[in-house]
Amino acid sequence: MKKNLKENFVAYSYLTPFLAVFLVFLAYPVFYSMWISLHKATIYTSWYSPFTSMKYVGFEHYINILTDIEFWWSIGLTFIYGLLTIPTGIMLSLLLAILLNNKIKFKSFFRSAYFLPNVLDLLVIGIIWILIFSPKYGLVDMVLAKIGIHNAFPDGILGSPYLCLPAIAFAMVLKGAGFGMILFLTAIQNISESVYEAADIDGASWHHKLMYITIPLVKPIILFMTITGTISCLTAFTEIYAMTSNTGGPTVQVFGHTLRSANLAGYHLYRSFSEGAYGKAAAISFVLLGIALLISFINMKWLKSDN
Amino acid sequence: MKKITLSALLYIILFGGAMLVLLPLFWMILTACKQPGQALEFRFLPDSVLESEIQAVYQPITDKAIVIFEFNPNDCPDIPVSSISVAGTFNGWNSSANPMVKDNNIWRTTLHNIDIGNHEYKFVVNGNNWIQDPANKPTTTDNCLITLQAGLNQNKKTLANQTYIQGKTLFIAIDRGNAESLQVKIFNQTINLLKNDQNYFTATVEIPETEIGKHAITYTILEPQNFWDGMKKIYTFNNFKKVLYNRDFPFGQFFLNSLVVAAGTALLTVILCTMAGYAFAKKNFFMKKQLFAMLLSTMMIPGMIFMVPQFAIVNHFNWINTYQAMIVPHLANIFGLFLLKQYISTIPNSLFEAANIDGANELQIFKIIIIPLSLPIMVTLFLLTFVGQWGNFLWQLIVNTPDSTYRTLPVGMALFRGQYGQDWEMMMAGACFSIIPIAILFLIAQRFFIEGMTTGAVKE
Repeated sequence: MKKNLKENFVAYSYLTPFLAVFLVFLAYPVFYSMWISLHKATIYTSWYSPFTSMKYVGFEHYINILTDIEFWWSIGLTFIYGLLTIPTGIMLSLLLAILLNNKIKFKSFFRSAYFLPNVLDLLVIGIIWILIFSPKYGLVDMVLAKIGIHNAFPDGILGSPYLCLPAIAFAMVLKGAGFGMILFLTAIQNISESVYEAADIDGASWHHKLMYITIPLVKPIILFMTITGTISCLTAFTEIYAMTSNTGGPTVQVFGHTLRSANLAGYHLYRSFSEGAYGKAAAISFVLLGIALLISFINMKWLKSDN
Repeated sequence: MKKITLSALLYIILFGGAMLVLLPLFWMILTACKQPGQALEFRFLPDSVLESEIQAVYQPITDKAIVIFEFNPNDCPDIPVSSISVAGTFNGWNSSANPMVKDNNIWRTTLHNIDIGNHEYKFVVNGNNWIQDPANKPTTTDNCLITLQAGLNQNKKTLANQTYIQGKTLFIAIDRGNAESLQVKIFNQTINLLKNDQNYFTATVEIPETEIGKHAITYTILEPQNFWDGMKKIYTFNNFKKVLYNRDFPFGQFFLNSLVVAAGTALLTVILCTMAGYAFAKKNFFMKKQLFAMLLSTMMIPGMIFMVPQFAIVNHFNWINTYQAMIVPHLANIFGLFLLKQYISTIPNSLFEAANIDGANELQIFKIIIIPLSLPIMVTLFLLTFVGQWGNFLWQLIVNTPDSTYRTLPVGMALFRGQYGQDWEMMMAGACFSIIPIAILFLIAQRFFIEGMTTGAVKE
């Protein structure tokens, strides 16, 4: 009993610094956020004293959000963004991993080259892509002009309501491909050679091997990437901020509403926050959490049920 | 044969893909190294022949005079010339009507349709300094006197070093002292010029019948260009210098702040996570499983939820515009805890038992066993956190006021962009400063990075 007490004491001594930070900056904020989401600032005083005059409003924020076309538009866009980035990202990563799993020279060079963009600053990468995509003088337009297509995008690729979001997705898939590649590569290398040899003896073609050996065995990675991809889509902010110059993209008219064509949920949340609507921002983040949990749950069910 | 083709294809795909993935990086460095105004030109290598702007020679009009005024600054070395114009009776002594243009150290202007006869004139240097023409000393009054005849005239006596038309002949004279050879493109043909004894490139061209009636004859000068001179015209390192020595945007300061924040967060995170990871991996304590499950479950929560309250807490502590505001809220890294716990679990228990028998206390165990054995994963976590915090833009933006001295690189970049949004070379030079340290760090420590990523993610 005495030893037990001592071990408890030692363990908690080790844990104290971590738990202290966790309680103050992670656990408490969750409850604080819930409280904020049920309140409303009656007078906007200043950026640095935001919570001086909070009034209880119940679920007003949640009701407002769920009936707000702008919110559902941002969710829809996030869904499209997810469809554009997650499956392509997974396929590209898997393709790279399979290609790199061959016996090739310069393997570590390719591995580093593909992984390098992952560690680079998203904001800066976004700005570089603006330069590449910019009208008339951007790399894309100049290359198109060289092969005879002049002024293909008069407003620029990022200035076009239809191309803005796909262009952002393209840039982000390229940036993120290396990360998934490393995950898949490790998983594929863990697959025993004998499995493939056995398949070879049975006369399996390469796509059979891919469909019946590789993909089932890397399924946990696919699941992991889907879930982390979902979360990062729902919280996507920096890429939108950087690549749309903090506007949320070019405007579109939908049923008489003027909406932004790259106004993803994460960016929508940031806008509410920066406008001082803290209650609304907190409520949006809980709705997003709900959606993230729901999607993760469905993902897990769906991907596990196949086994 | 088929196998070789396949493997060649494989390399081409992999290499092309790598280039595409690294395209932003290359484009950034290339743009950062370009001369001002060159960023938006689709030119990467200099042309071997430099074609000048279109030059024009005017046909003389009967009864009217054309006059060329030349001013060589070497004739009056005591006056520094930044702009010069000519004023006289022909333009009503208007000092701004006929500014002269500098070409190869000679200031020059051509006036058309001037009445024949005597005219008085003076040069106006830097807008207000009226001087006499050093090549044409005045005789009667304080002003210089020039007698104009129909056709071409010049303030200097000789017409030899001047491009002009006389009758049906075009005399070309171009001053390019340093050039080896020079060509002129005129009337759809290219003519080689000869160098005369005064280092002028000259040629005499018969004007074809079809061109005679025209007001002006145009040509361009083709000058062979040295490769390195041409490269210097496209590329420069000055943008980096301009970014570093920019008074409004102290990049050195931003860089230092980013370094302190990223390294501080990374170091403290590693310490906290190692301690907590050790406790979770090797100790039994009250509520261990529940606590760990609770910690892990917070990984699901989108980071945005924490932002508003964290901001309120930081504000409550009066930490706005401090390092700790950027460091402390990120120290409880659940993913890092998970990594460390998994790693420390693999250390055999017998080691701890042996240490206990030898009478080592907790601190010694931590120092002798935990730190040396889990160093690889600690380095990984350090690097991951460093990279993450180096680019953490939003949080560092909101906990710093716009005039804070604790602003970090990402925040500085955003401001920089506001100021130099159209100045792409400067923007990209700034971007290089924020990206290159991380790229170098990655290339040095990539083994740790990639291994850390895989062990963490796969075990999850």
